[in-house]
Amino acid sequence: MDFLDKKIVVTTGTCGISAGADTLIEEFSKNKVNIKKTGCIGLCAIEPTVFIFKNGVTLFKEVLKKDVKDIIDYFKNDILSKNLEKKIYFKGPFKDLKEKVFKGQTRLILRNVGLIDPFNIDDYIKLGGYQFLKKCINKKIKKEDIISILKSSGLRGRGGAGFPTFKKWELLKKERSKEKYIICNADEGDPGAFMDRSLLEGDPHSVLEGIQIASFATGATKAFIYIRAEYPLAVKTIKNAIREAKEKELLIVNTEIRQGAGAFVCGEETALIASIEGKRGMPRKRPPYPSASGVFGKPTNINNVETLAAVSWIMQNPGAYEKYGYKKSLGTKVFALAGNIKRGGLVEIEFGRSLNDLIYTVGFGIKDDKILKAIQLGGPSGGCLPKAILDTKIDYESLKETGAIVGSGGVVVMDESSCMVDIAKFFMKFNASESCGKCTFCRVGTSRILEILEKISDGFAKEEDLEKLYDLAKGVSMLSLCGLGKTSPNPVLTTLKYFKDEYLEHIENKVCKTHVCKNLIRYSINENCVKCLACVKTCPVNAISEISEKLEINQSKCIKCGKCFSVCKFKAVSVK
Amino acid sequence: MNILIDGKKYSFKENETILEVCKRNGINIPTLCFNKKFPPNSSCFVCIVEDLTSKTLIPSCSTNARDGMKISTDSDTVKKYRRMAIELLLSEHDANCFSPCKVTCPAGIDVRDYIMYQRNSDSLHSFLKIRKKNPFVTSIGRVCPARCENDCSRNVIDQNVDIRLIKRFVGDDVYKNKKEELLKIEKSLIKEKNDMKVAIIGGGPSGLSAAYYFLLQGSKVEIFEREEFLGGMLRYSIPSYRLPKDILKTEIDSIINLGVKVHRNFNVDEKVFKKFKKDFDKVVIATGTWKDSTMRLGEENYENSMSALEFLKKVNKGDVLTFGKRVVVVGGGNSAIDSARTLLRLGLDVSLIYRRTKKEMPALEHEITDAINEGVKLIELLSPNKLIIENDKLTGVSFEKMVLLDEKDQSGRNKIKGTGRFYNFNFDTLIYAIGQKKDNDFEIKDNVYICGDALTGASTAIEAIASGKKLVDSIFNNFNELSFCSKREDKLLKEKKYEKKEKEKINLKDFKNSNDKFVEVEEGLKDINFSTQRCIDCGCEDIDFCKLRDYSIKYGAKEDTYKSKNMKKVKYFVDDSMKYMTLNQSKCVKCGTCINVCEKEVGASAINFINRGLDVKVAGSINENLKESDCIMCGMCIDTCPTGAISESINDFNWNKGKTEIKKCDGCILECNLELIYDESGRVARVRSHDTPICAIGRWGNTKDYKNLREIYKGKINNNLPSLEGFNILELKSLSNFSKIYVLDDPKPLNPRMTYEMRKLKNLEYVSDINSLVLKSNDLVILNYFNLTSDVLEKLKNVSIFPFFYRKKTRT
Repeated sequence: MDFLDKKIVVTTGTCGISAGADTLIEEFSKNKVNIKKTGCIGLCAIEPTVFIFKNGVTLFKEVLKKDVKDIIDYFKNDILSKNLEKKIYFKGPFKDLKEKVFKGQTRLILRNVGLIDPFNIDDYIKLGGYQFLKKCINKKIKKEDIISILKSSGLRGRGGAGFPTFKKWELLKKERSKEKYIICNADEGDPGAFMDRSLLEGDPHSVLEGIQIASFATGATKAFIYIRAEYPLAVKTIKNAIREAKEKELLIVNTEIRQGAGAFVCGEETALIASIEGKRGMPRKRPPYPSASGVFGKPTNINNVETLAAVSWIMQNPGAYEKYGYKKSLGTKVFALAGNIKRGGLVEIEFGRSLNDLIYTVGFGIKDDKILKAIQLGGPSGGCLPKAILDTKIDYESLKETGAIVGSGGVVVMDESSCMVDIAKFFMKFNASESCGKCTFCRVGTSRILEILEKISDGFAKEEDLEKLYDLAKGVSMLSLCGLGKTSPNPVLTTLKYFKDEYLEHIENKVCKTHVCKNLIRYSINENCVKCLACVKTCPVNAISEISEKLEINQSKCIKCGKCFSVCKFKAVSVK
Repeated sequence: MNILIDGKKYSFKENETILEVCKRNGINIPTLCFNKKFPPNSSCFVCIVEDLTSKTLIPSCSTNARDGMKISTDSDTVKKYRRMAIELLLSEHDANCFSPCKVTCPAGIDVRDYIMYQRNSDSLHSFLKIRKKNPFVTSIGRVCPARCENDCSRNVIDQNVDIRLIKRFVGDDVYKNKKEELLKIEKSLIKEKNDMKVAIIGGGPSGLSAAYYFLLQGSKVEIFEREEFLGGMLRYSIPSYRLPKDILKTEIDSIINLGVKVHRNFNVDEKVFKKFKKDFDKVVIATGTWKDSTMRLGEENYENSMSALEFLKKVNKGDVLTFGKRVVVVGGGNSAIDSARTLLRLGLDVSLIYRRTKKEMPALEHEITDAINEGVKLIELLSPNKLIIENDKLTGVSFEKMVLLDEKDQSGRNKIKGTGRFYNFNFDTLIYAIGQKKDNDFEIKDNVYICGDALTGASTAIEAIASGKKLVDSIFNNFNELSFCSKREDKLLKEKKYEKKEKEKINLKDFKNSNDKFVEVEEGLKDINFSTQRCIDCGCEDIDFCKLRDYSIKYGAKEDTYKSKNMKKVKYFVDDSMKYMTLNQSKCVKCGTCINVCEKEVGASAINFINRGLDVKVAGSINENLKESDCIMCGMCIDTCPTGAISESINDFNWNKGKTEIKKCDGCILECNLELIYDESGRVARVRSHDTPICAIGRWGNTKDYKNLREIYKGKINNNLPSLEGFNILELKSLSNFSKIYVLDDPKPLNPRMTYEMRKLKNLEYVSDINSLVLKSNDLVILNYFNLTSDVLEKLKNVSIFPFFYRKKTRT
């Protein structure tokens, strides 16, 4: 990493920029200080971050515009201001960074992200990139050998389904057609998942190299990168990467970008193909599989961004990948940690670690040291798992047994203040609005599920509604064509499996213990009240007034925002 | 290779789907999104079957049969999830199967249809349409409470359609002008004789109704009537100023003349009844409710006190009665009003006393108003308490003053309470109209059936008639079409702008100036066309073509299974921008077959899905609107639509599918096969495609009302275009014999069949300029009729040509 030496590094992924990294860059350039821009290193919770690689590494968190001068001072003159001192997240030798900041992680796919300049192909080449591809270009390696390396690496599709990658490649290789296509699926749509974006923004060449290797090994004649238009920075980075690679003659096939309009279902391969063809993104029944009839009816192979990034690592380090992992799930997986967790952001771990490990070691534990209640794994179509089964190992098979999926790797951590009915509602809302509308069960069923959930959280559901809910959820999962439809009721099915009591409480007792479901709670003012009137001032709808020398909340006015509850210093507002 | 379906072995060919195997072997599987011309959509999931090995449900339309597969097509799981799919579709099916008038009518009369026939001046078929559900056309047109009018959709716009009076007009017109024709047609409607012998006791509305429908079924019917004349309550309780006796007689005769044997003045006692049970296959009790309820004050024991029923019967028989001068009528029902108005006509001073207020009276509102206008004094909120007896003679009644409470009773009317204050009323005669009961108790057992008032208690004539028909339907297992009825609020009315036209004012005859005091008070409609044209034809036209409805009935699906307060509703959207077609989103099941047809068969790609989730809808591919899309109005989407989401915007035909016929279209030289569907009156109601796609000319040009469309095209051809005589115009069949085929100008022909055929051709070339071509004798030129000019024709002298119609470009 000598190209980092004596450098100031600002991480400028989408997360960094939205937290204000671009103003920092402006400020640095005003002061005529050269800095290095990298992608997101995965510490999204403390953005914007600035690294100083001088006498080891110093990492500053939540840097503001006014801190820039101090940082320059520190960089040039080793003077650390008091203000800046507070912002040090890490200071020490480079190797400690791995152990402390990236505790418990195995960063193979994310190896370069946050450390190299994504707009500079030389950084990637310096770290060993494109060497394998050159072998391919110079025909120093056989196609069969590539597939056999891939086979022994045990790499499985990282988009969610976990289908062995080498098999897909083999299928495409076998097809005899004048035209064959490789598609890189960068239509990442899960709320809370951003590993593909980070990869494309932080290390586009590793993905591009993966695409080229895949094209070579399968004999593809053209490659598409299908990326959502909502990722403008990633589009820019990958476009630049293609240009740079072309200049250096590092492209085996013509690689084109296709931008999707942000339909969740277009991440499904048959819908994605339809979208590339210029049609409405709607899945179709398989078979025929894309390997036989894909884009424009030609044989096609679709791999996820993370899979292709893994390919370039595997080819750089043959025989190494399979040393990581567990049982049938070899290698590593990137997860996006979100919710009530201390270290939110991107992490990469080896398969076979437990969910507890992921949360408490890699994620540093629950925010505010609260008690963990459940985690939602695998995005909106994944499952909600309770605390009790969090010693489950992270691998494709074990997770499937629990009802959740590895999926794209989104992890939402929930503490005890989360209502599971509300959580199910949240994810169902997403799934219902993202249904492409083709299959009856997915189009109408998901909305009807959502309505039953709303009925439950509003407190007018009956016990028979629970049966209806379960039947309907089963129906949707059985009778939908594509993966989105089949998995869309998972949030309901898993919460029903693990948190049925909570549903029953809502239905029978009309109680939401977490006070999330507004229609089931009631705020009142108790005898602790000292009439400081803080609540009266804060109430947005003027629902609190003095009636017969006591403060009272007018229930018909109250919108249950809970502001009085949090503003009261005397525990005089009680909630039921 | 074999597959086991429902326990039976069937062989199959390679790449054959389960659905195909089932269809080939006559196993019925429901489908909505499947059209055999195209690859399966597999989106509706109604065609699911169970794979018994893996215990999973699979869509049969797109799953290939595999050797050794075990399939069930009707297991409980299959039925459950098919029903669930249908119920989910119904939950977003925001549309009405029938017009509200039909749904409300106790007899379920197809009101919209009979008004439609009358609008086309076809009173006979209008009459027959009514007779399908109710044999008393003109009588019911006079005495019906007409709840249909309360529910009429037109109320939202201005006022209800005069449904009852239209019925009256139709009846009168037919009895006056088309009696013989009617008899002839109705006789032809009688089914082949069955061996059933039916005795009907009671010749009132329900008995006669049962008799009529038994007769149509081919049974032998005898009616046994206690009185001298048939008609029951219609004859003896309804005064002739409302229903003239001669009109009633004509109507009853039209039923009897079909072949009913009538025994008048025939009283059936227990002994005769027992004999009937042996002699007849079915015995129907239709004896009505002829026993009076009393005020329970002992009033029945006095000479100058009489029940309304007894009074009306006597008047209707023509008995001479003495009343003194002042008469008090107690009650608030129709009998009370009828009595009061009859008494007025007898020249008496009439007070009508009711314990609640006018608003709560069960009598018809307009009858009450008419009665008051005629001079009946209405006294509200008095409840009879005690008789006033002087010298053993009834001279008056003491009434308690009542007050109305806010609380409602079971019937939804406000409750009343006594105040303890009493008022005395003196009179010469008292008529009490408190209620009626059945006056016999024949045992309903074995082959004995009951209908009408005797079954339901005192009710309206139309309900008695409906009851009589229902009895016959249940005996002959006739399907009740209302067993599934999607019924939703008709939002279209609120969105669509209708011209306001209030209904015709009906004149009332004043009996005071007439020689005949019992002259019919209500005059009929003066402008029948005005009234029939006010009907806006609500309800769904595609009832007979609707698969969703069929399957809902078959699988017992209910439309409100997933109904809830917070239900997300899709914005109601009707596209009627195309003149002859309507795209109604609220009926769409998103099967996508129309999109397939439009793209793959028609070649227009005018429609596609837009939006996501529940908001998905079929819309014009440009700007949502069909008019701005590439729609060529061929209507092929109508034929494939499993519901009424895409339909013809003409309403002037019958809902029910009638006779069909295959006929060659004479619109152009393609001579496509058309499937003509006739309605009961013999008009072409609609045209559907038969084996190949058809175009707008074939579809609309053959229905009576759309002749003009065809004329436009024909006129153009005849007047403005050069004659093609002497040209080698070929038939479509031989298209493939040419070395080169040139298609001139716009590649989007108006005729979908042309696109369809052209797609099969390999040696086809689209050209824009004919002059640049070097044509050989073995070439064919397909060209636009409208673009033919004499110099173009000159060039085409030596080759074969194929002229047909293109869509004129409307978009710029």
